[in-house]
Amino acid sequence: MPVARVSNVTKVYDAEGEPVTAVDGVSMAVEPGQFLALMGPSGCGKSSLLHILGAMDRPTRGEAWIEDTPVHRLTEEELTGLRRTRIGFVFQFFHLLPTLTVEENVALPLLLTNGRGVDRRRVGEILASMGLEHRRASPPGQLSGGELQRTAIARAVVHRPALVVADEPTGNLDSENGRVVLELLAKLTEAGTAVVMATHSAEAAAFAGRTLRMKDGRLQ
Amino acid sequence: MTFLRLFNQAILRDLARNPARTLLTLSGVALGIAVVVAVQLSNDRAIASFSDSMELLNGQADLRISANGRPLDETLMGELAWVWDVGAMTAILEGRVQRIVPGGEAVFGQATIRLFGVDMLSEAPFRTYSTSTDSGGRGDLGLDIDRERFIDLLTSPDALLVPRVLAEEWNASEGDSVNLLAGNREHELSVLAVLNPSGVAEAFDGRIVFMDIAAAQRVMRRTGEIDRIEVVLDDPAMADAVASRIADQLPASVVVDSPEDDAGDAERMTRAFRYNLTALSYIALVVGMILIYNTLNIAVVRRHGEIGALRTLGVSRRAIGWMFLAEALAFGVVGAVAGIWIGEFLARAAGALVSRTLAMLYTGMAGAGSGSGPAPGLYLEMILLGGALAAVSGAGPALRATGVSPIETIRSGMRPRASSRLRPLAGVAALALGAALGLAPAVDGLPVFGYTAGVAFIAGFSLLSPLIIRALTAVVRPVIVRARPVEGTLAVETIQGRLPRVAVAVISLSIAMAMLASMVIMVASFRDTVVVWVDQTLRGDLYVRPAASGRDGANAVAPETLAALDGVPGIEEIDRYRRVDIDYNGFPTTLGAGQFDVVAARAGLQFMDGRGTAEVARDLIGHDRVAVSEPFAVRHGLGRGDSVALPAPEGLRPFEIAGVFYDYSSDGGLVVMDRGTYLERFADEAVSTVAVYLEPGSDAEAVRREITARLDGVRARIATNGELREQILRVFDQTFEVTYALEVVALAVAVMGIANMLAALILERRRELAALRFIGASRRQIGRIVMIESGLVGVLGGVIGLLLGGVLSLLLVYVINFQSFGWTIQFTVPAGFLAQSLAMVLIATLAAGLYPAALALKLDPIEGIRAE
Ligand SMILES: Nc1ncnc2c1ncn2[C@@H]1O[C@H](COP(=O)(O)OP(=O)(O)OP(=O)(O)O)[C@@H](O)[C@H]1O
Ligand SMILES: [Mg+2]
Repeated sequence: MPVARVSNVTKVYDAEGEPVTAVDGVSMAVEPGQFLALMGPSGCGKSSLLHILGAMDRPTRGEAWIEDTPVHRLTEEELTGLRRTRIGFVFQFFHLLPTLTVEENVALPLLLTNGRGVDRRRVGEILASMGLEHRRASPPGQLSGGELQRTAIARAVVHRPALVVADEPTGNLDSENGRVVLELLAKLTEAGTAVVMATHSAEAAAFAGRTLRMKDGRLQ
Repeated sequence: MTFLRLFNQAILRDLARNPARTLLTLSGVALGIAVVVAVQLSNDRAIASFSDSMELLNGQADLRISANGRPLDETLMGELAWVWDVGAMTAILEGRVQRIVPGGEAVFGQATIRLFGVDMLSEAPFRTYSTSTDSGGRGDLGLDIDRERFIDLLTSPDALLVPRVLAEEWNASEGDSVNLLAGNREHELSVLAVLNPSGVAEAFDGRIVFMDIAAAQRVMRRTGEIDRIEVVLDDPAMADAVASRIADQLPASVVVDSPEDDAGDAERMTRAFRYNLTALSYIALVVGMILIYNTLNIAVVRRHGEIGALRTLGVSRRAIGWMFLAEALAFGVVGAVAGIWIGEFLARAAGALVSRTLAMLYTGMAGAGSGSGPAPGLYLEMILLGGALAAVSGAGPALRATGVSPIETIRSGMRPRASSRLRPLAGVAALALGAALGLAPAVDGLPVFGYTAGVAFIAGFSLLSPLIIRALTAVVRPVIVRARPVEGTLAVETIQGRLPRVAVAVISLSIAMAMLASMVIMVASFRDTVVVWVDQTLRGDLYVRPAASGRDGANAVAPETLAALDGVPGIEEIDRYRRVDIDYNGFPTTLGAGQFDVVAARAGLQFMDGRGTAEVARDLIGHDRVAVSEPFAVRHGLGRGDSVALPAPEGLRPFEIAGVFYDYSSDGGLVVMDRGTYLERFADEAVSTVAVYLEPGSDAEAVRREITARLDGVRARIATNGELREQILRVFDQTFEVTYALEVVALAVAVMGIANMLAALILERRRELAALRFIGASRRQIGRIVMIESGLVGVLGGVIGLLLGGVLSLLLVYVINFQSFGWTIQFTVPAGFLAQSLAMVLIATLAAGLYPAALALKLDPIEGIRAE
């Protein structure tokens, strides 16, 4: 069963009365362990599609599934629950909470799910695998860009999601740090996690097992 | 020009983009200014209306002859006949009346109406009256009604002239009859004419009626008596010469002065009260200014990147600084203008409260103080004040903005600033300074240092607040986290991580809370003290007074009433008490005379040196000695063994102070002596109040009924001990209504600050909150985080406010109140009431959290992630 699947999805935004079709009848599936890159010019609808794949947004038309759960039929509250357990997000601008330490940032998804019982061992494990043990007590303000993005990846996978959605994860990094991040993402897929990544960079897309191209909201 | 364009583009547009927050800041400043304006206006207008009224009533008089609160004999006019050669003279009799339904009782708390008895034939040089119906008839007599009705006025024993406002209130027109209680009797009088609202008819907002003096004497049962003689001189320059000649001719107890001193009296008497009210009103303003500081600080932090970009584009440091300073100024000035406008409205509500309180506590200067012309001077002052304070509060953030370097990114704005190690030290120093100032004496009877000490304490707590907040948060953190592991942790982290900014909001809340708490403690302590005092002093079972009595001692218990008390079964003893208003060293003072043989065994005055009443009574009876109240002793710097000169009929006579007792009946001062001494030295047999002591086991109600039944045609007010006590406490409670109203406004301003600060925190964190939503936080959880944050700010502000309030209440009770009014108050802590106030503050801050919470819920996470 695919981790995520969309069938003929369309996303129309309302831009001050003007309808804007960002995603236009796209069908695709992401299999477990797959590293999929989404390329295309700016404004072609990559982020919009990622948000639907990651259960962050519902399509205007068409169906979207996370495993056997119909995203298009869920309430907002149910979407939240789904993301909390099955999805991890990585952003171009990291989006860590500045008042929390690296460790607390990483533990956040576990905290959101379990409340009291945060598995500190799991957090330590992930931090180690991202090479961040020495930074665990630092606030994000003191981290380099690469460290920030590694922290974000750790946060995205700490709860063992089935799918990691990464929107231009290397867009704000130098090539060396970008390479490290891509290697880490690739490593995730070895353990069976699926990764969908939007990128402008062919270099980055080269790390992916499969590349889809988008233009004007459609897959090519 | 470029500056203006920049200001428009960078500042004004930003303000316009955040209308809710801009409005919140503006309303905070406006409310602060409004409170000050309202208090100033109502103070000024209450005083102005009193002095205007006195001026109107005194008319053209150059000199005034009176006997220090005691009546003059009307034959004095004849002795002074020579005055007619140099001017004109007229006699005045004043009293208080109350409108009642026929056979009814006066209503407690309803302001009494002045009855002004004038000699209509000699009024013309002094005052003019204009009636609504007639015109031009007897203008030469100062009253423009036709001859026939003028003669009616002179001859009929019940003719009243009533100002139009009062006639409308009474729903009475010319020819109607109205029932008035005057002194010990009910009178059915008739409205001869309604006066136009001009001249004397405007005095005391029209709460005054006029009669011919002969009729007034009859109504007041004061035949042959007048209260004063007024003189108009052909040549006012002769005033001094004429005054001294009159003084030489008359007994020494007669005072000849100029009516101009009246306004000064009112001003002096109420000075401490008004001063304290004004000082309190500034608290709201301070809280409003903290709001400006907060808003600007937030703007600077939020727009770090933008400021950096402007700097890259070549905008100078200085221009950036001026831009933010200009923003502060704009807030101050616009807020002030709005505040003046709101203040005018508030003044109408507060004005009634203030002048009622002043009336109750002091002269009985009725009238709502609605002499309400605009006050351009005050407006200008407030706009300047608003601008200046805003500039001061904006200086810090503006300076901070100039420090932003062109290369700074958005991230650096979030880096917590290292807090200076000097701050806590400065905080401790401020507290020490406050303690030292608290020990300093009053300046000219005003607790100037006391208030300065309050400011120092507030500054000290503000400087120490980050430390206190950190400590308190560490204490409450486990509780919050246990209750709400997810939202609690995130909320606490936010508060701790953004301490400097949060601290400002917490401080403004705690200042408002401290003010409320300290007032609550002070008032409760005061009230408890008064209750104890009432218990010990007020021991009579029944108190008999004239049916309508104002503050002036002129209304005495009718001889018939005194006679009726004789032989009523159940009465064991009575104490005839006389009180008259005298002037002591320029301060209105009450002279009282009681039967100390009765008092000694019954009521207990609490003497400061701990002696019993019986002991002091032995010193008083049969000697030229007095006991004085604490406020009197404090104000005049007198003590036991000192001598006071009191205005006896044949001139000032020295009396030795035999003791100083606690008294809370007025801050004007009270001097009491034994009735025997009073009768001997002052030759005044009148009685103002009779305290009736019953035989054990007799029923107060039955005795009251019996006395009432024996009153034949005479009216008296007979109160039981409980009723009188209730009245005293009711007056007490009403006194503090204004103060509480002010506190609540200050609190409202602070709560707006909280809403503002939290909203800013939300907008600043919109990316974080969006990210939280991506990683699985629900909308509800986000809302909860915000509510916990505001709750936490409420708890922090409330608790710090209680601590600060405790300190300030000590200052209020032991320094400010004592120095202003001379009252020793026993300190009590009303735990229940304080808990209520804390709960109120918590509820208010939670309510304040609703706005930012709604803001947070409205955030679209996808938009939030996109926004860069
Ligand atoms: N909330 C919105 N309202 C209106 N239009 C939107 C909204 N979000 C996106 N769009 C429009 O939808 C289209 C697709 O946007 P999207 O962000 O998905 O593109 P993208 O491929 O991710 O671009 P980029 O590479 O620049 O990130 C664009 O034309 C964008 O302007
Ligand atoms: Mg995009």
